Amino acid sequence: MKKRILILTATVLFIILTCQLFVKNPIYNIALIAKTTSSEPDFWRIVDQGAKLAAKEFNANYEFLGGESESDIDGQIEIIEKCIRENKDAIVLAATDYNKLADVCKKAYENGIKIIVIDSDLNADFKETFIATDNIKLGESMAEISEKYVNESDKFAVIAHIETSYTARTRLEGILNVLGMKNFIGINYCNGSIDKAYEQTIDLINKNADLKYIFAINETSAIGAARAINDYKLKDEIVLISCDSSFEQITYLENGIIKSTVIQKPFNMGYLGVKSAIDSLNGLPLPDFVDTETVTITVDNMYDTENQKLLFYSTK
Amino acid sequence: MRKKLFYKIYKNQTIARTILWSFTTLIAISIAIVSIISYNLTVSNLKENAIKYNAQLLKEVNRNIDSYMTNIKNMANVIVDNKDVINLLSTYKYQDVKSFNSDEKSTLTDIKIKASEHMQNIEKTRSEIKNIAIISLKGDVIFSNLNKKANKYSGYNLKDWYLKPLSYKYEAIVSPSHVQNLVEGEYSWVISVSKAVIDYNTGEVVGVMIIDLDYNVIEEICSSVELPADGYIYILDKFYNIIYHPSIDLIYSGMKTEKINELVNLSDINSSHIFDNMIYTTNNSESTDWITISATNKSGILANKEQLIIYYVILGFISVAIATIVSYVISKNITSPIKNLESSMKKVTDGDLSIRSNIELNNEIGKLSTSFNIMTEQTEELLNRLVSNEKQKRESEIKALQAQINPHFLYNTLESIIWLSASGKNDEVVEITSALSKLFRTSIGKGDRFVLFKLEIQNIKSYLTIQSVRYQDVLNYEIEINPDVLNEKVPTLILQPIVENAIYHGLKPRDGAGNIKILAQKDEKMLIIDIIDDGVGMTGDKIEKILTKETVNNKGIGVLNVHERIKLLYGDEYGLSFESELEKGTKVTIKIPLKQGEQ
Repeated sequence: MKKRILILTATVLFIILTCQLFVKNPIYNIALIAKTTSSEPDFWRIVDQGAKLAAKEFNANYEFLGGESESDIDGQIEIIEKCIRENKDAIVLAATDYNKLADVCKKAYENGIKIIVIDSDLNADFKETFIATDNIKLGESMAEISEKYVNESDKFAVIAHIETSYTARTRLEGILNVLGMKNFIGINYCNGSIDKAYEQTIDLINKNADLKYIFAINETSAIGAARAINDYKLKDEIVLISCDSSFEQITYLENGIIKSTVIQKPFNMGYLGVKSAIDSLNGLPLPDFVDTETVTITVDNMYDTENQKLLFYSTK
Repeated sequence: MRKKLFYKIYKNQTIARTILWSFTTLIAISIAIVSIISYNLTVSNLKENAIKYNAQLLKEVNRNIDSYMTNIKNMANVIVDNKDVINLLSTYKYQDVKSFNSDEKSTLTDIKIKASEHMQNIEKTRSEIKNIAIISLKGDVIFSNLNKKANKYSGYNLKDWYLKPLSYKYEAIVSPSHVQNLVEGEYSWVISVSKAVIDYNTGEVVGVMIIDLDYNVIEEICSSVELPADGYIYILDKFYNIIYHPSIDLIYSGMKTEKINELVNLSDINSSHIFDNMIYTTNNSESTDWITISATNKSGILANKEQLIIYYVILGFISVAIATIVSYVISKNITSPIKNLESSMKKVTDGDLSIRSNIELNNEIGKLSTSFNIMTEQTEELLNRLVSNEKQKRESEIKALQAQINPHFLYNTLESIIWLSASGKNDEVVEITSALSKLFRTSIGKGDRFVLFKLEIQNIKSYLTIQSVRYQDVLNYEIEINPDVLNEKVPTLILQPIVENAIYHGLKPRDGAGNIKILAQKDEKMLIIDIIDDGVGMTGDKIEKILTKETVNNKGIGVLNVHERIKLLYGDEYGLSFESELEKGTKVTIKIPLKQGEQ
């Protein structure tokens, strides 16, 4: 009789197990909150593409969100609030502000939402991981390019996007790590405006006769500076080194106005962001920081097979 | 050793359980083996089919690409053979167009427009053609759309699609996917087909023609077939550069790698191989020299592998369950007659010999049952015979007893009558003679087995009358009968042997007159008759001897006969019991169940 009960239990257990096997993995709802969803800069669209591919590959519901501009901190806060209401499983966030988003993210975290930070760091110990370009290294890479055109007495200036921005700060740090303060003229913040960067470039050139290198450490400042150098036909006098790779930058790279640009891998950032979100939801351990690395592009190597793909995400 | 093990397992099990477990185990093992074999067969079948299917799909894709590229190459031929195109490029090559006068310039413009129109007409036939251009050896670029401007910084003259046609004059060159920057402000992913333009008259190359095809065209062809289980197709050119890959971004981001080197190093390119759980099928296209590769996840093909396993396990479980039920039924069927027989035997051992096993089977158990029935039948018959033999024996003993009483008794009584008559005791003669006649009339000689107690009393009175006359001054008697026992039926001749025994062995040996007292009453269950004398009494030894058959002479036979008859008729709790004390007397108690006489 005991044996019969044993068999019965075994059968029931077996049926439960098989039923569980038939139950599919849950489909996670993941939101990627970029700094902005506007088409400028191109960067976030590529992040979106990478994220989309990961979501497709790992079968997750994916939503691409973001503020109106890269300085739209309140917009991002609102979006995170909305994500909490919608009960998302994970948020992949590119923080517009290191400190101001921490509270709302904490609230999301306390509501059981996994927080994955990409691109720009967030002042939070509860984030699962931080996936970004090592911006100090990026700055260092930019500075190292200038050594090809080296002349000890040549001065350099930096045009950046926003003073409070984490990326601006760290990239500048990287440049100064390599070049030091001796020949450093100063840093200008264009606040994300191409026109302002344009004016600042002209201003810098006019005021500093010995200015040789301009480091434009984001997309908008690079475009502004490039336009100015193009308009004033100064491409032989000024070495413009930028980062990122908008369509316009590529054109300026081709015709030699931008000497070199250090590009990030936004596709990887998006892809790894969503993948990490799913991994963390599945309980896998994640490293504290993932460096998505950079590639230095010059006119000579821009059409190399691998570099083409990094530069021209846009058409594929 | 094995025998011992089985013995140990089965020693304490019923046959039913042994059969049940043996069958179930046997069937479960067989099913497991069969399931594993069929599972493996199914899996290898699936794998083979998948490989075959992949190869088929791949061929189809290749055919599509080939026919497509052949088409495009034909278009290329139509362009490079066009006289306006040749004329235009020849002009650029052989003449210094910059020094042209206005007439010559307008003629050149006319040719340019004609050539451009020709290209445009062809471009229009296919929507996926992004651009068609011809380039003179001096660097003049003419597009199908005259509004397009050439990118001054494109560096086309260093690129394969431009250089190769110059060396392979008559071949259409297909360049793998790349970013085309020939048009100012346009950067698009294309696949290019380029061919040298040759002047018929001189046989010299005068320029290069290029057709840019939207990269998506390959994707469309590749995704037109659907590979099972998340499989995908990718294409390499003959230098093993990736032309198309559905996850190209991941590959260039370094997040995915393909085993290109391993695959292309294989001797047989048109075949299937398995690396790291992936099934790769490769196929070489003749017209493009491209290598098409399909990759399918082996475990993906067997996506239902888990389901398959579950399916087999469930099937196995069901089969085992059915087998268990069937073997249960079989074991019950086999063992229930055995159990039936067993319970019949148990009843027989408990003493019920009327039991017959009612198994109607023709097998061993049926035979066993028949034998059992024959055996019990014979035993019963034997027992019955034994009982009836015993009865007959008792009855013949009574008869012997009766027969024994009569002559002696009659002889003695007649002797007494003679003696009484001679001494002139007429009254006594009358008394004894009438008692004798009464005794003979009522009971003795009739041979009935049962008689009413009052008749037995009457008989014993007659007997005692006779005996008291014979043994005057020796015997006094007294009979005290409770009237409500008079109509009980009792076996015949139960009192006379005991009274006789009391007279001859109790009273006669003593000095002086003795008394016999007969008492009868009943309680709820039985009739109790006491015969009390005050004779010489008996030792326990003697009582023992009387109640067993150890008495050698005939003296005790009557008493023993009474005792055994009662026991035989009514059971061991009935019969005679003796109480005796030497020199004081003996009391014999007869116990007979009430209303038993009517049976």
